[in-house]
Amino acid sequence: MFMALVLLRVAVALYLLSAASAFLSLISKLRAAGTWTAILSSLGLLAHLGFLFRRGLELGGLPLRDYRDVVSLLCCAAVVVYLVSYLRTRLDVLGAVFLPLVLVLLFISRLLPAEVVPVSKDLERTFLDFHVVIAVLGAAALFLTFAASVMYLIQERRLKQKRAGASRAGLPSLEKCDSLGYFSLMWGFPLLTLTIVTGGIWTANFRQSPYLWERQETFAILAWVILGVIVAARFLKGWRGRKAAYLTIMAFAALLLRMIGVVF
Amino acid sequence: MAIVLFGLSHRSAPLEVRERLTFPSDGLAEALRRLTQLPLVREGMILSTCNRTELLAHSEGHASREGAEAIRRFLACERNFPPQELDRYCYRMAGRDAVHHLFRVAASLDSLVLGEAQILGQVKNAYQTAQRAGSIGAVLDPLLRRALGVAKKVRSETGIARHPLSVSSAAVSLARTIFEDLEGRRVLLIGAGKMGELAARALVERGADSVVITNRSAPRALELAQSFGGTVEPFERLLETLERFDIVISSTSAPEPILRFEDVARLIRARKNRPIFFIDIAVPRDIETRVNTIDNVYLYDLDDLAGVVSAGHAEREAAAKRAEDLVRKEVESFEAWVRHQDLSPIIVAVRDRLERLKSAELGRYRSRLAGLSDEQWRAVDELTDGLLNKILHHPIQALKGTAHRADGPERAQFFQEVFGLGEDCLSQDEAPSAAVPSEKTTKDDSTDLC
Repeated sequence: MFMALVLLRVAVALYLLSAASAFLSLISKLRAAGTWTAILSSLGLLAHLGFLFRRGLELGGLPLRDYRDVVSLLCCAAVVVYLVSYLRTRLDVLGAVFLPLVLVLLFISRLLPAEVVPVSKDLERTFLDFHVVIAVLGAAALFLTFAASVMYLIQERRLKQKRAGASRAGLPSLEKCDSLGYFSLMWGFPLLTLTIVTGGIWTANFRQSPYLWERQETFAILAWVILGVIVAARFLKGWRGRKAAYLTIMAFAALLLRMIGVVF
Repeated sequence: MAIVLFGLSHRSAPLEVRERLTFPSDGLAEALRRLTQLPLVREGMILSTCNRTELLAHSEGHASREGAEAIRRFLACERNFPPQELDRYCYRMAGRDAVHHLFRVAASLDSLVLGEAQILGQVKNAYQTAQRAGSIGAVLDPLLRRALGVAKKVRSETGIARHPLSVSSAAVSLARTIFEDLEGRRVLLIGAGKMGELAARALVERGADSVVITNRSAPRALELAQSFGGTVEPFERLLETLERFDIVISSTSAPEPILRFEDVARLIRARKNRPIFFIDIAVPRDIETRVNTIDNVYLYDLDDLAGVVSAGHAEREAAAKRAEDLVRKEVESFEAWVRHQDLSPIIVAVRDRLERLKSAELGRYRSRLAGLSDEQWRAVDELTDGLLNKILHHPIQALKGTAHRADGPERAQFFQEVFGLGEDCLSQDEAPSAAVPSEKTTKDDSTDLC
């Protein structure tokens, strides 16, 4: 336990440093800061994976027992998504969106109760693990959708208020923000759908609940409905832009609330 | 550094004078040859553009004053200009100032339009011409290469050239903020105004696709379309055609707006919300201002573009400040490099002197050590060599260390005095190149004839 906690603290410290470096890369014109953000967060990721591994050894299975574990895994996945998209786009601003959010989530997750969901059979355990892994992957993809929406809104504002032009201010073009958001949504939304379906099956089969979903799923359903509307409107009418970006951010917030176990 | 620079630019001389003093590019190689044949000039380069004529030379020894004077006379007689009048328009610099000036010029910090890209190409051309003519060598070649390197560094690190300075470049940079790249973007030009045409041309240069022109007067539209390789659409069908275009430039002389809020709202639905960029350069304006409030529609009028341009000016000024710092650092580092280069003859000389001392001493003892075998002689030889190297090690390290110091020359002088390296050894050191000046003096007459 002690070793695992040390690893987690090291990971958090490295994430903190890389978040600081991400902001430095935005404020100053230091070229190297963006690279340092990526290097520091990769080191943080290694420590974080080490922590998950130790935790898995302790539990004798996937380290997914309580909400803390789920959020911890989500943060890991989000850092991976950040690193991959940074390497592909070289956008320093990504670090400044991802890393602070990861830190906040990690911090909140330590405040959550270490309450373990009682699971009776092996089959049920496997099914639940599958459900959680899908949920984490989907949420990690939507992290990128969220980051793209934030960048879109800032860039759009600059253009509409005639403050753009001289430079892109380290932000990608509107079109790039849009395509990044659309691409990640096309991964995130199907995964979220699958999460909700597997969640429903799990509730119905193993919990013998009379409801299709339980109260705590309200936020997840809300996120799914909003994203569904965005996807449908995009397909049918090419709908995009400012309002879609705001809605995406709302959906993402709802999803995060669900994942840290906030009950409506 | 006996580097001298003599010349004039848009800052020091009016166009009438500048045009009389430019070197035509086809005669440049010949002029360079004549320049290096001057008595004091070892290497030379000529940079001649519409805004400046500058002659850069490495003059012999430390005679930078005389070197500059020789170049002044050379310029006057080459371009047939009264030498005494030259002084009113020309500047002369030597050593560090000349290097600093050259770096600033190459980095476009001395240009009429701050950060313009042309000057770098012009300096590169001047460098290549001089290289082909064989007029630059050990000193100017590395200096010019460094100048080009500094210029590139300034461009990439300060981004000085990125900020738009004209309405057309502002339009391009805005278009690139909306669309990732301009490749395949369709441009519609409404009206045949000059400024609209320039903006369209700038977009096409950056890869925008076909330009379509629509104008109330069809012949003028056709004429414009031919110059672009574009096509013409009848003005009456403007609203139907609009849907196909990503960038619309409007510069008609219509007294009333030709595109209204409702038209554009309908248009964006028809375009399935794909973004559209309106550039309204007309006065009075062609497109209702409210249009900018529609999502995915971006409207910039002449004032907005002017705002972008003035921001671009401010950004370039700020970038130029950073660039000046960078240039200063580069000048220092170049100076240190030169001082380092200056040291190598001294090091050779001191080694040479000690080597001669050693052979002289060994010679004196040869009779007394006659009983030594060959092997023992070798041991004595190695012993003395090793001793000399050990003694020299620290002084030479210390000497090399002076290269980065401001008082380097004095310290190097002191080093020479300590080891008894007077004028005699330096003149010996320079013996191989001594042939060159003597050859040159014979040619003096020919240059004086000019």
